Amino acid sequence: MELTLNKLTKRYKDKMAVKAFTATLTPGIYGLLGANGAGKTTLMRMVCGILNPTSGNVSLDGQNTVGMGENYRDLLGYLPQDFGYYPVFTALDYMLYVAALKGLTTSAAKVRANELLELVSLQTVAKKKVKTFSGGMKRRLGIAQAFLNDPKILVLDEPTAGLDPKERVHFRNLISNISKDKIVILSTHIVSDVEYIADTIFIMKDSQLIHQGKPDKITASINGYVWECRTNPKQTEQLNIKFAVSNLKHEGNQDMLRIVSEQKPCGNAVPVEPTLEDLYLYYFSEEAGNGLSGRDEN
Amino acid sequence: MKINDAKIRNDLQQFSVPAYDRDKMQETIRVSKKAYNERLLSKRIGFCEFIATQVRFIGRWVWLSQATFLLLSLYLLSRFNFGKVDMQSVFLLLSSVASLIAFVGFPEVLKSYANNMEEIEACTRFSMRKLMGARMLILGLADLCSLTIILTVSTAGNAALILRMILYLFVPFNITCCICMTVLHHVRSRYAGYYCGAICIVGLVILRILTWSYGCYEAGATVGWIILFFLSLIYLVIEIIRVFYSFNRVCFNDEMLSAKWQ
Repeated sequence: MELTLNKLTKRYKDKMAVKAFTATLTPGIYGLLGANGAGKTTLMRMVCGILNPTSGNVSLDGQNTVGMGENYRDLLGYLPQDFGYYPVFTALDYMLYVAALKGLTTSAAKVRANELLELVSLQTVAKKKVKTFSGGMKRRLGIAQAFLNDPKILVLDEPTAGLDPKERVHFRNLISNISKDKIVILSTHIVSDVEYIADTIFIMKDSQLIHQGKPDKITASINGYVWECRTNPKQTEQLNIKFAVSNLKHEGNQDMLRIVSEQKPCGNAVPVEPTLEDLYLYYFSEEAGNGLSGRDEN
Repeated sequence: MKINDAKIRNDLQQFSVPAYDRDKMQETIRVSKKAYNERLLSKRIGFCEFIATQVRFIGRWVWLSQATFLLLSLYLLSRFNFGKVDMQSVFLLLSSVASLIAFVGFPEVLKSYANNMEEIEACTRFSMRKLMGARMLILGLADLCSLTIILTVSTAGNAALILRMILYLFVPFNITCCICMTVLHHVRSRYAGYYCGAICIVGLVILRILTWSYGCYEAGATVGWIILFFLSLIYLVIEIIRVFYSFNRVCFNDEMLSAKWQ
């Protein structure tokens, strides 16, 4: 199975949402990282076929997905970033409703709905109305509905928003377990969601794919750009303004700073091993008001 | 033979389960369960079965409202002494009920947008278009059933008025549907239901004014009603087709702004 995104572009009047996104996806987990407004959601919607690209196309094993119609949608599982529910529905009703839309038979829908509600630990509240659920519970229900038809292509847009740390870990394990023989595209701006489970990371910035590769390889691309140094509060303030600080830890009357910078930020700074979070900060530091010049964005 | 029977009976009563590997048995159960689930999951329902499943998911309040309007109109019709009272009131009642029956279903058709469900629904096997088609079909058939019952009761003792009764029921019904379809075609948000409601109320007020001021239910106006009937029917068919095809893709008008922190 090979999903090809061929120069996918989406333009809204005067704003470019996604610009010529090209990638070939085979079974595995793909983490799509980018700041808010980078174009991740638009890309996801185009992959799912619910938004027409301005140009470019999505093909599965060489076949245009638009032409495949329901045969393509049959392979899809999608969790949107913002999704709703019908207030009168219980969790089980919700699952059975989506199962009917996915074309599952009534008996299969019941079996699968109960199985998945158990998987996301909602079986005890299966007959409670969704409107009474917390944000995390609703998100778990959303995750469960995406799995209903045992999809071969799973598109999850910000799946961990609203989940507590334990639920996040549970979700990551769940994705790792089910990803065999599936293409899982996971969009997030939370680096830890994809750091440990993604086989490939796509980094999107200003509507474009600026970097892609295996997590260790792309983090290696900023080797020598991450520093740690011990400073006093006054120096900390200055460095915080000048550089992208990925971590700040108070140690008595001194601070331990982790800085992402192409130049050595201060005299006692020592280079350290970069992480994916450092890489994210390297590309998106200006979102937080810091600038890094002269970077290679290829 | 008898000895054999006794022996068999005896053996059956003193059976013992042969030794087996528990892990392998568990594995067999797991694999067979998986195979069963995979087989169950591989089957897909057809469109007719899909329509049948959707009946269950139509909100109860829709059926309740329909039943209320139907029973209320039947009750009011039973209180009129046809031929003696002012028939204009009967006609106005029929037209108003027809409009209300038509309107009740539209918030249900639009509920995907009102509840932010359209993204999930749009990328499922049956897609938005078939879902909307199924909802419109179910609600349309229910409306027609209600109107047929009202028509049958109202014309029971007035066979001569059957044509006019049909017109007074179906012209307001068609016009309400046309208005709601037009709104549905152009507004895909939670507010569409409110727009439909507001327009329907205005329509009912206009109908009432027309009854008082211009005698729109006079026999002489029948030709006008016939013309309106055909015009509204043609427009309705066109609008249904346009709306149905417009569900090809979900529309997103959001041009997200991203204001960076300074």
